[in-house]
Amino acid sequence: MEPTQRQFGLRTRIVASFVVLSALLALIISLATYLLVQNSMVERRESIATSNAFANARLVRELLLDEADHGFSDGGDSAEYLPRSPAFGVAALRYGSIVQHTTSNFIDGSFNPQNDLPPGLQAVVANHQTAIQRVRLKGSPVLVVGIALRVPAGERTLSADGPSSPAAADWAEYYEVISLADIEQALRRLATALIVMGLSATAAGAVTGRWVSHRVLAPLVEMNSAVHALATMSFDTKLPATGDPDLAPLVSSFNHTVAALQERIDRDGRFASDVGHELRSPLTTLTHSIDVLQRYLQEMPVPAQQAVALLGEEFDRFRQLIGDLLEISRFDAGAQQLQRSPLMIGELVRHAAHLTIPDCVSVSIDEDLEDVVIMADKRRLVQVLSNLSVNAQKYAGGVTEFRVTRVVGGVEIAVLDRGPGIAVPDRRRIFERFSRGSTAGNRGSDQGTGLGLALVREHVKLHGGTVEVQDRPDGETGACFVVFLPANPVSIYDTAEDFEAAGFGLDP
Amino acid sequence: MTTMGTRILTVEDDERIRASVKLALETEGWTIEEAENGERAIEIFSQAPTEVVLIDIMLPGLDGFEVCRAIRELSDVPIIMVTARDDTNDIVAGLEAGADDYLTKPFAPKELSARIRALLRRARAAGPALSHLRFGELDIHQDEGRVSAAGHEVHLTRTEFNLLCELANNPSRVFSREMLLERVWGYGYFGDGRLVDVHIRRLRTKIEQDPANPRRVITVRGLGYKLQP
Repeated sequence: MEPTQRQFGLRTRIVASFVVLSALLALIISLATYLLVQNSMVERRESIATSNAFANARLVRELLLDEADHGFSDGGDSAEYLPRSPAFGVAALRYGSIVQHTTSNFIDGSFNPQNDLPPGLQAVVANHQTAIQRVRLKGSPVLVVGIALRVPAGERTLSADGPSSPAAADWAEYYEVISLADIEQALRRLATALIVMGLSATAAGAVTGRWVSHRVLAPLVEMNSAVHALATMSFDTKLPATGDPDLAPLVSSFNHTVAALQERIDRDGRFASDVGHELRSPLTTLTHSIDVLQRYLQEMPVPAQQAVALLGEEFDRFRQLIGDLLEISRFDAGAQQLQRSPLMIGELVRHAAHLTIPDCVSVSIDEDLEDVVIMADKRRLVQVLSNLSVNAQKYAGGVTEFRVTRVVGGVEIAVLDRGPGIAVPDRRRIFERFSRGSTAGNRGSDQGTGLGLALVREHVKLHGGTVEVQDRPDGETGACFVVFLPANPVSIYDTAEDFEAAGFGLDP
Repeated sequence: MTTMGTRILTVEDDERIRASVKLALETEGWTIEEAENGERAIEIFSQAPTEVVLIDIMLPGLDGFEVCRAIRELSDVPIIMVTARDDTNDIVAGLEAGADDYLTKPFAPKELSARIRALLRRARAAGPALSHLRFGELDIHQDEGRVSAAGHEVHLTRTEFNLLCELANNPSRVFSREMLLERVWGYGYFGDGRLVDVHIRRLRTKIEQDPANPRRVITVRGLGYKLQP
């Protein structure tokens, strides 16, 4: 069943896990650190500020009581009740009509306790209670401590007509505003540091994840390239032995499989070679004996003549079949090797064309290929061209044209005929073994072995090239077999260096 | 050229092949001597040398390569190796052992005859051939079939000699492998270029002072070979 969702690779998943895990850990540690530090800093500041405020408040109360004893000369306003420079910020006092406050550089001069202090807090203090609140005052973080002071001035007021007593109430409100800006700044720095650390930890997690996944997947990658090598029939591929108990069984069974496969293929190769050898000996005897028979044909009675003629024809075909079978079995055994030599491609095609159909076949060769040499296996190329000719002869009345052109990365040899052409669905199939044209089934006087085009494909593939059937480029009926050979064509007038560069180093 | 009376030694352990080859070649007019193993072949040849030797590579006891080397010690007679395998190593090894040509089973009698005829033929010089050619330290006496390098007589096989004469009669001219195959071995375009390559290599070891850096028989990359005067 096809997976419906896009699957992430093992490597991606390992890396992602590491990233998520490290990010989560970093987040938890950072948050905990931040909250702990924040609490401890703020609490400490609060406790100091509160005790200071209470000390100051007591002092203010003393001064107020003192002034009350003196009957609040000047309405009490002229007296300075507030500490001159409170440790952390601003102090404010409201006692009846007496409203005083100090200033500090951390709040603008326009500080107005009535408006600027939080109303909720003022209400609590007005209700004779103590309150502490953290607020933003004109943009900067502050701690406001509000303390209600009981000043029983009423008892000490001398007369109602005396100097106006501020003591309409027995209670004074004392406020201190303490700046928390330094703490906020410190916390902001801490947060920045923690974010940077968190990101680094996440990145480190990603790197570790990559490394781990690389380590974990290395055997898989190795195995993959080994299997790949196996697919190209290179059986000297072996996985290196490993001490890893998790991998050892896999490695050992892989190596066993390769060895078994190698042995099997070697055996098949040997078998093909042995069969070849065993077949060639009787074929040699038969060839020579039939030749002697044919030499004395005229001296035989007519039925014997006919029999010898049949024998000769059928034997030729049999010999061709054995030859093709042996050739293709060597491909199967992976025992084929190219015998590359420098070839003038134009000359080769002309000779091959001449060899197969001496009459009325046109050979056209790109002008710039006339003096050009490529490295290729002559015997195989000749067989390719000859088999294509034989095929055309069988099914299409013979080749009408060979065309050699220079293309990107190599040369192309087109073999054209004016037969019925090859239907599109058959164009791949005809290169398979023993597949015959759509008129197949009727062997008739068919002289082919059924392996001709399969061998063409194998030979071309061994050169790293391709072969395919196309329509004739001029649009007329007929087939066009196109053989592409990758090559680095070199002109015979080029320098020795050009030859070296084109891979002619094999040239003795 | 008449084939009558030309004696050919065939070394082949398979009795039926031996018999059929003998039948076919005798029908063509050659005289056949047979040997079923290497020892016997060397014995026959040392007693009465034949004009051509045909050696199967796969032999019991002494193998074809050893027989080829042994006969080559005795004579420059044309030797054709016969192999039942297309194994390219076998073919090159046979040529390196001193063979002049090779055939792959199952070969046709006509083909064998053609090979033998080509090997027996002397190199035909194009135009009026000079009987004595001299290139520096290299002396070629074409009519006597003799070559000396730096004053010392060099022993060449008939094919090596033909190859050298072919090159020497047209000094500086570049011969492609195909041309040499045709002129020396009688093959058409489709012969095996390795025949030429191996023989050139062998020729160099005999006439060049430093065969690894030849100064007379030069490779022309991508084209073939030439003799540098």
